[in-house]
Formats: sequence, structure tokens, C-alpha cells
Amino acid sequence: MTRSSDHNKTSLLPLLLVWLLLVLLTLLSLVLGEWLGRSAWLPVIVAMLIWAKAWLIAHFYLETYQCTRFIRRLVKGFIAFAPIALVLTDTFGHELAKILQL
Amino acid sequence: MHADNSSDAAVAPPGDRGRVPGNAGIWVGISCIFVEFAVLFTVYFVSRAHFPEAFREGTALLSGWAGTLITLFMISSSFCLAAAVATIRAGLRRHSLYWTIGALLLALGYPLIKYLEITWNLAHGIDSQAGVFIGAYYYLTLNHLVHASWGILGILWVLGRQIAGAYSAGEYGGLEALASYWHATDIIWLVIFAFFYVLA
Repeated sequence: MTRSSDHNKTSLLPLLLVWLLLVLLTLLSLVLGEWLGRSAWLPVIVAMLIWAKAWLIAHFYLETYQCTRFIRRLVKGFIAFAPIALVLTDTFGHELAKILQL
Repeated sequence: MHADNSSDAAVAPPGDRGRVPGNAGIWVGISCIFVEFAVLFTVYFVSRAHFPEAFREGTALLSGWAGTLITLFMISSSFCLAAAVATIRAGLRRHSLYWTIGALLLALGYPLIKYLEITWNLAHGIDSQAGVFIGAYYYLTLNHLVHASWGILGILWVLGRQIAGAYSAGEYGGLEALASYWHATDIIWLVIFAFFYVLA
């Protein structure tokens, strides 16, 4: 995925568009939080929004697509962890609590 | 919105193995922070599994405005630092300096809002003894504030170096290292925001 011309990116427009998208997704998450309330879908949707926002920052601001394999995997793994764990906790929370009983 | 891409010598070309934004040292730090917060998030998930009702009701106790404002300050200062890197790559040192100043001013909004939020919390009896949700909230958000404070000190340091003319289109590793750290801190905050201010 490494492209030799990318490491000197100087255009501000993609950065600005990403910022706008991040603001919109943040506001959308608040609206959905209010609207869906206790719906079982809320954690799934919030998990997707967390992943989408983190991916935008990782891809466009951190420029992970042109980083070393270690950095790409580190960031990808971290931004996937919380959304996956959130969905699993809300789906299998009861079983998880039983397993982790002290 | 497109700065002149006049420099091809900004950093070492990526080659087949990819590049390290900033320097290797900052990525050791970012790796440690990711591991630390993965552990803290695990504490959150284990608590959430044991006390689902407390976590569903807890969000209503907190100020949604505070969480939203901190999020907007974080993503906006991240944008400014990304722009500071883009403009220094183009050789626009003064523009880069202004973007870094913007990043600093926006970043300072975070501790200010957090101070006001905690003051509001305490006035409403929301202290660390107010239940498992609030305990997890203070545990995670104050830890994040500490890391953001290191980032703000880093912005001040980089700003001083920029004023001294230390960075150019050919050498901006320090600025990019700081930006990488701040973006990582931003990603962590976006998760915390959803945990405590969005999920009902």
C-alpha cells in the first residue's frame, strides 16, 4: 500500500473534509444516542461510528497507509479493539460476567 | 487549499517497508499508550458486563455538552496539527507556525472544559463514590487528560522550536512526531466519548 509520492502530501482540502466529516459523525452519534435510547442496535451503531472516526484520523491524519507494517497493524488493531469488544460485551455480557466472576 | 508541493526531501522515502512518521521513539510511546488504554478499556468492558444497568443509566448523569465540546476541541486541534505538517512539507513555515498556534489554543480548551465539567459534577454530587459507572468514567477520563497534558506540553515545545526556525520542508520530524502523538490521543478520546457520553 506504500506509495512513494504520498509521504510529502501538502494538500489541506482532504484534511479539512475529514475534519468536517468527524464533526458530522460526532453530532450524528449524539443524535442517535438520544433517538435510539435503549435499543439493542445502539451499541452496534456506536461501535461502527467509533471505528469510522478512528479510521479517518488514522488514514488521513496519521497517514498509516504509508507507514511500516508494524505501525499499520498496531493502529488497525487498536481501532478495531474497542468496537469489537463493545459489540461482544453487549451481546454476551451475561456470559462474560459469569466467566469473569471473582 | 492546495499548498505548493515544492519539497521532495522532507523525510526519507518510504521504500518497500513503509515509513515511520516523526521518529521511532514516539512510536514506542504511542505503542505503550495503546497497550495501556487497551487494558483500561478492558476494565470498562468487564465492569459493563457485570453492571449493565449502571452503565445504561450512567450517561444521563454526565454533561453531554462537556463531552461534545472536548471532542470538537480534540478533532479540531488534530486537524490543525495535520495542517501544520502539510504546510511545513510545502515549505510554508509561517503558515505552519499559525496552524500550530491554532492547535495549541484549541487543545487548551480540553483541560478548561474538563475543569468546568468536574466542578459541575462535584456540585451535583457526582464524585468517585457515585457508583461503578462514575468510577470508570473518572478512571478513564482523568488518565486521558494526563496524556493530553503531555501532548499540550509537546505542542508548546514544538511551537518554541518552530519560532526558533528549527523546522523546514527538509526537516520536520519533531513536528510530525508531536502530530502523531496528538492524533493517537485523539483516537483514544473518540472511544472514551462514545463510552461515557453517547451509549445510553
